[in-house]
Amino acid sequence: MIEQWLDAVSQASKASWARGYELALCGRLVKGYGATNERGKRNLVHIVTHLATSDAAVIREAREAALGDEGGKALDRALLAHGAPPRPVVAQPVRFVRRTHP
Amino acid sequence: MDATLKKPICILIGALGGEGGGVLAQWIVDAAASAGFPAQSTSIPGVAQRTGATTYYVEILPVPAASLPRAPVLSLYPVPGCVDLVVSSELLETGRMIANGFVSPDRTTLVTSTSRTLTTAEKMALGDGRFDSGRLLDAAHAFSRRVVAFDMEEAAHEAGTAMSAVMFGAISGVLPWERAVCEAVIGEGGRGARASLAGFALGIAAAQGQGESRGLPRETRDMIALGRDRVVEFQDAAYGDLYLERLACIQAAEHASDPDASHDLALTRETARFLALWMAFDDVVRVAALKSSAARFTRVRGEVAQAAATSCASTTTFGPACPSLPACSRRRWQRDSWRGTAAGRSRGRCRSSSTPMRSQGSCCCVSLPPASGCAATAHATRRSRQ
Repeated sequence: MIEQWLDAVSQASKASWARGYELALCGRLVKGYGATNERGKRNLVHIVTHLATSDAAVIREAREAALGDEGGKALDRALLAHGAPPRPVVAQPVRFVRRTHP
Repeated sequence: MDATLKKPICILIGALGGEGGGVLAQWIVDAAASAGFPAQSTSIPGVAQRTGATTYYVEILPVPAASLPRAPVLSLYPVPGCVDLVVSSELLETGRMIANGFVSPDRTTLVTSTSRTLTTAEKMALGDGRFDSGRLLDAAHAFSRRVVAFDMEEAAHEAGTAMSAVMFGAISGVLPWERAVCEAVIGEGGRGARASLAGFALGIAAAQGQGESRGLPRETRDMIALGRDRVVEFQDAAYGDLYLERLACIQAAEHASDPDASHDLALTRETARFLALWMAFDDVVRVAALKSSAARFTRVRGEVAQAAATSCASTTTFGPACPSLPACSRRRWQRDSWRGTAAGRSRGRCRSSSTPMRSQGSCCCVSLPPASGCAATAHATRRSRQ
């Protein structure tokens, strides 16, 4: 996944420095651990997959939207506004745990 | 090529009193002699901290003396614009060398200590009269072909030796002979040779560490150095190399798109920042290492102002189901926690996967043995693929 991001950054920067720079800054989306970390990586991959050839301003807008709200509604709006598909709904596992007694 | 047409290597050394500039010049001449190259050394006394350091000038003709038809004529003085290597033990003296024109962008490798010994003029000021070291370093980068800058004073102190040994190590990569030749010359010094060799090795290491990211703007270089340190601390040196490899690709791409570096390599810098954070993210192994470090226990004890003899317990709460642990060890941990068997030390509790998992441990023992224990496995498997 790191490689995917790095590839996108170097490909984009060959076309336009500003676009590569904005994609590089998208590394900020990956932070924390656990669910936050997973969500950040999904958002990053989505932006890298669908907006890597867009203008720098579009990438910046999407990144700021992704950082702006936890649930990602702003990101989805930004994605839709620029013709990218919204993020896929992620399956949430329901875990059943046997009650145990100490 | 005709050996008689080969140019000598010109080396200018600047050192303060007691730092062993003379010893260094002698080492270089001795090493040249043992390598069979003609060499000559002169020195010009100076008044360091007032008008300029004592300088030593060495010329070496990197051609075996035996193969020359006659003895070469070497210069007694350095000439501005014609010096290959400038090595200086003090940053402001380095500045003077640059101002005097001995450092040139097309030719000179500049090896300098970043340590300062304040000049009389700086000490005479009523307020803070210190000259800005950042400006000196900027000049060093702007006017030389390559810069190696590190705190030689600290390295010498660490090795228990004089600055000269560290300087010798730092320049050894530029000298036209093997490292072993330098070490043999130092070894002849008798008393103190062991400390000198340690200082020499520190000098080499510092110079090599800098070779990787030379020629970059300072902010980018610092960011890469910090990032590399972070990922090496997270895993190992090979992981650090992977980090540098990845950045090299990005830097090449940025160079292709912005050959004049009009953005000061900001793209490489920001990638270096986030790549380091990603490659060394706070997974459970790292959190366990931080949580169980001696420094943390000391801090906690200080915070609760506890007497040394008594014990205290700390509780660490993880998010549900501790997602960063591999599933198999997570299940075992949960099971063992209930039975109270995990190494006989963990008194962890896990009520269900939807409530926080807690582990309690005495301040004096590792509070998360299962997590620390999986570090080795994680290194080999999950972590290195992040």
